[in-house]
Amino acid sequence: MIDFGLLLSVILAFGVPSLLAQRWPIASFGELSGDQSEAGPESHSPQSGQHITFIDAVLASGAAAVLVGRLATLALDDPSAIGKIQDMLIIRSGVEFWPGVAAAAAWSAFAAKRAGVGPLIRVAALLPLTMVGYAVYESSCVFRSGCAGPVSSIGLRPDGLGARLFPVGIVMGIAVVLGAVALHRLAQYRVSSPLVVSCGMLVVAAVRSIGSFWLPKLGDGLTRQHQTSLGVAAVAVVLVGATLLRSRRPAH
Amino acid sequence: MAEPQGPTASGSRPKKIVSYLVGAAVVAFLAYVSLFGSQSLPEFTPTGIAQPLPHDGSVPAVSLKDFEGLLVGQQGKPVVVNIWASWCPPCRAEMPLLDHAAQTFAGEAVILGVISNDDPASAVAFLDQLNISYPNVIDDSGEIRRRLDMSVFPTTYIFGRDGQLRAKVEAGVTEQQLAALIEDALR
Repeated sequence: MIDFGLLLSVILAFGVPSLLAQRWPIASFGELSGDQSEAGPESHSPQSGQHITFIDAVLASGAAAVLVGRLATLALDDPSAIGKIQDMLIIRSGVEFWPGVAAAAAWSAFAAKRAGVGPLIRVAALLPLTMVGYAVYESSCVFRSGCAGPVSSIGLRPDGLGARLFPVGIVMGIAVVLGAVALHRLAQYRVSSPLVVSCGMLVVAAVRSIGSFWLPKLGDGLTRQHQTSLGVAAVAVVLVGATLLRSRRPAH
Repeated sequence: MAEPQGPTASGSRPKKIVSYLVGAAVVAFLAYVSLFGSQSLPEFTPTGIAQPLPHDGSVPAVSLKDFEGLLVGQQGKPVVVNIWASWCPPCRAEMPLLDHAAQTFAGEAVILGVISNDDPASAVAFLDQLNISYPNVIDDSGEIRRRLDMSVFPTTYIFGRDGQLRAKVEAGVTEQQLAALIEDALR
């Protein structure tokens, strides 16, 4: 059975940033190589001229994210299912978020390195649009009957529920979009790529960590996804701090 | 600097418009199906003599009448009925989640598995393999599945405290959905 809501969410998650890329162009590999030689290895400011499309840049890394995220879920929940194609294809039964993000970033970095571009520069250039894609996916919970949250008079009523629930996913999406806009602005000030990447990581991890407190779950403890997001947020705080300290150190 | 306006640039504009229109039509169609394509609930109110749930790991074959008796026997608590088969991968994927729900809401809500269109020996072996703790019964004639208008494996039905059918989730339920549906039925 095709899950039309999930299919639509994925189309929107790739389609909306693709449209937005006309206003936030992604520098091509060639241009980024040029930036490296002219403005130093940490620069990633896109120049005018020829640009690659968002889809070209993220399709393979998106596929890597789904594959690795799914394998991570199976390894943690049901290792015996690894290798059984039918079991592995049921995406809705879980795709681990952060292993998927790590795989996507690793794939983008690998592709950049092959093209002679600094891996972090490439990841930083793609990050704001990718965050918009993630925000659109979260906000499109309305098509998946998945806009859950605490009972509220101003919420939505997913199928089969008597009470209205505050749509935490939509609020998370708005917060990530605001973070993406801030990051896009930050990138225009030619800040270092490690700072852009660590700030993006912190925004997404913080939004997921905070949002997860209000999402329905079974049992009293934190879900595995929630624990992972808290851990990633802590790592991101350290990375942001370290990058800021490094950037303030006087050059020799 | 102005973009070149040669024959290629002017020819690609109608193509771009057509691709945007096709994309918008696909999105509109999927949005319509997702928002308004949900199936209505079957008219089904369990009646009959109350029966106790099977215990001690027994997995009895039941008729539709027996099944209604099981639901009547649990009135006062929400009941989650999950119809499944061991040959169906999404069914197997969601069973640990249902078992987690059975433990989380023990005493407040009931999870009842219904094995249908399956070899009973394979299904029972699978229950043992996963160490499933909630009760299961076998719908060997398929009449429970047909009466509940089931068309996709697995399908999960939520009955309220009053025994009325409240919700139907087809092709796998997520943790958030399951928790929200049970908590809503408990309110």
